[in-house]
Amino acid sequence: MTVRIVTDSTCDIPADAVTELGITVVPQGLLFGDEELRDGVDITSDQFFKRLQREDITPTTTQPAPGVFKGIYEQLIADGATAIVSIHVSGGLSGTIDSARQGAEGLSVPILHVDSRQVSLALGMAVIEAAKAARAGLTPEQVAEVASDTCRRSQILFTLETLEYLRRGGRMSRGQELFGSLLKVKPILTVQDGEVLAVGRIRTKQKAVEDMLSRVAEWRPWQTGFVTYSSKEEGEYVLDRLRGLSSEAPLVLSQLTPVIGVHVGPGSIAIGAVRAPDAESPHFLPK
Amino acid sequence: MPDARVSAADLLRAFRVAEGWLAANRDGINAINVYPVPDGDTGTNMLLTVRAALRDLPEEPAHVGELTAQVARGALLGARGNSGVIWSQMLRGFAEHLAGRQDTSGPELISALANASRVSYAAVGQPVEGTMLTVLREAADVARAAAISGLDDLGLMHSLVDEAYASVARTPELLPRLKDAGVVDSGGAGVAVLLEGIALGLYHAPLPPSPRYTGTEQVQADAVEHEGHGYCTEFVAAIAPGRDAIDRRAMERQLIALGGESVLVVGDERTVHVHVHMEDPGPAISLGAAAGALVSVKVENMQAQHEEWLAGGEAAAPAEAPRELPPLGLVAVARGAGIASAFRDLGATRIVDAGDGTKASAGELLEAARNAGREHAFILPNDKDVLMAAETAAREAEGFITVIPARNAAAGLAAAIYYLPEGEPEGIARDMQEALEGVRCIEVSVSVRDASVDGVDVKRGDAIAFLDGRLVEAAPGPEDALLAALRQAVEDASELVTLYLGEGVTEADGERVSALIVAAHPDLEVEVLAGGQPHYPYLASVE
Repeated sequence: MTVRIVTDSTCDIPADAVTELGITVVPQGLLFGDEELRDGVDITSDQFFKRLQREDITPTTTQPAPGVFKGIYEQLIADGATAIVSIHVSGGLSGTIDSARQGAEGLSVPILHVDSRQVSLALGMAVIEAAKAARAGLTPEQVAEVASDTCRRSQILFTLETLEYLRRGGRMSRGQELFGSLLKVKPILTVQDGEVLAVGRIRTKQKAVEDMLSRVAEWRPWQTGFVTYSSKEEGEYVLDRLRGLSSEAPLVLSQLTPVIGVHVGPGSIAIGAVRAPDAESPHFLPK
Repeated sequence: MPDARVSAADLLRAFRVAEGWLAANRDGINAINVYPVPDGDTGTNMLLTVRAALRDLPEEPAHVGELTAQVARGALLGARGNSGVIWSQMLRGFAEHLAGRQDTSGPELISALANASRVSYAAVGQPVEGTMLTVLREAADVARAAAISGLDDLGLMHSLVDEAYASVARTPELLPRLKDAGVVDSGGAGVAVLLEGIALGLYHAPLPPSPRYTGTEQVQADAVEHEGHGYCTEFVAAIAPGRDAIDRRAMERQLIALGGESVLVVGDERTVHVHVHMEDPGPAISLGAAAGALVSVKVENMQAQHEEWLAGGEAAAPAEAPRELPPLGLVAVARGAGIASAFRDLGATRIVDAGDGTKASAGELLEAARNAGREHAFILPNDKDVLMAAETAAREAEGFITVIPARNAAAGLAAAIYYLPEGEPEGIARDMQEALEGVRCIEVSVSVRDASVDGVDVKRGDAIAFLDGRLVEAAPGPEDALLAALRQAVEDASELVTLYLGEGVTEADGERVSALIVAAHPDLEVEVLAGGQPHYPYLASVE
């Protein structure tokens, strides 16, 4: 039995881990005006942020078409897959998971879809755990459950230089009223119940990073900690700080993919963790 | 009336004389300001506190204990400024000693003042000598010694008042900052004036022909008479469901058009509480009746009336009105339209706008807090002289209010960033408190006299800069003072300067200053906001 793992480019998994674990990453679409680019394939993050600065065009994103998923699933089946677990960015943020489901119709092997309710490495960590489980010979259902369970134990925090990109993309659902228009603030956001939620606001970047670190520290013990950056130097600094918080948990560092960059803008950084199975969940703005 | 019993009516008359005497000395006391900044208002704060204490009292009080308890209660909620709050604590101690007394006597009043002194020391976290605390203590001590030595009542009162003024004169010896600034303690001066007024009132003695304290800018000392025209009219109007909401601004304009003075319309869309001084109260009341059902109406001939109506405890009339309060509320005291907008933008649910230049009273803050949030409210006093009033409000509300002790608007805004409309009040308070500790604030003003303050020599007309409340720089222009203070405030870890432009400072000025700051501190981000605050052309925070 060969269970193959499919995800999309919002997972932010480092390239070497993608190769090593045999994960198939479907690129999201990126539009600079009429120019269509495949996320992470036709354009790297560094190129993307340079263009974002240089050009007046506001880039937009498009989810992969069902046909793209169909083609990829068919290729994996042709290569010997007996089942596929396809794990994607939160359905609350993107239609990718629907596209993937439609692409799976009528195919000859079982294809299980997991809506991660997450994004970036919070999704990526679930994909990595699922790939390991598939390697270990678990059934497709067990692999999907590993993915879902990891997603439930993951929490990611973002801080943004400005809310402008997120507002423009319309991806923020709750807590927008926290951000007025007079004083510039650095928002701190998370993904909760599959949607972007504002959890705080801070005046300066450095303090925002400290705030995120102190929140992530409260989620210990971690199974894994992770950082996704738009500036490598900052990413490495934050990774060091995470290591200081938990020397035993493995840590993953990666760069934000351009499609996420479209929604968060330059200078963003995300920190998160997969909590150990027995750790308590964080609570934000209790209702 | 030497050596006679003092009735409640005698005491009330004495309080009213003291009020008038303080009113005569108000501007002089206002002009006594350690900092050479034209925002001294100790006289006004104490006067408004005294007036709040003397509101709504029976014309013929029969019981000294009840009278003083009522006076103390009125002062507590009406207290404005730190001096007003301390005076209210003195009245509490005074009343405590006289509890249960039908009438009293000269020596007992002196003992009551001694108790007032004890209570006020205990009420102040860290008592400082050379302040109004010292003045009352020394005056009461000397008068008690005189009582023990058998001096008659008139003699007691003389020794009390003489020692009070002598003590005021000694305050600079006890408090170096007074000496450096070349002033006496303004709160102490207020206490001396009040004690003198009470003593003279008790013995039907005439007031001195001119005030004890005369400021450099002598405005009308007869302010009481100026406010004494016509009728003070207050009413509460509520609109029936289905009728148009009350436009408070429009109602204010109409009242002014009718010749109203001291117009105040507060409340929400469903209920308004209106206060106005008019020659004829009729048209004002008709206006209220036209807007909705009149819930209550109060018309008073303005003998001892004033704009301080809100401060009375029962004046919290619109309490039934707001239903849609958020779980948590933020009350910010703000001066300047831009500052107020910035607080609103950060989610402040109530702005207490000290637009007329008087400090917010404990009662106003209490009411604002109760109308700010359902479960808990935070108060940002944004002025070190509103801090104690805010703390008084918090004590009255028994756990409902947390005071975040911001001493100016720049600090308050740095803290307000951490305010959230939902969540655990303790956590939010902690975050706001930490924000205060992590921000350095600069206030730039212009000196109104020669002075030496906090070791800095200042000439009249100099721009002066305060860093975290201490005067650190004097310079020819406000920009120079600001930049010099910034050099002291900026540290390696500093990331951001937020600059609030005061009244009369243009956007172009702001851009120019911002460029100067960036030139001096290339690693810092600078954000400029039109604050519109009076007296301080520049407020800045460094974080």
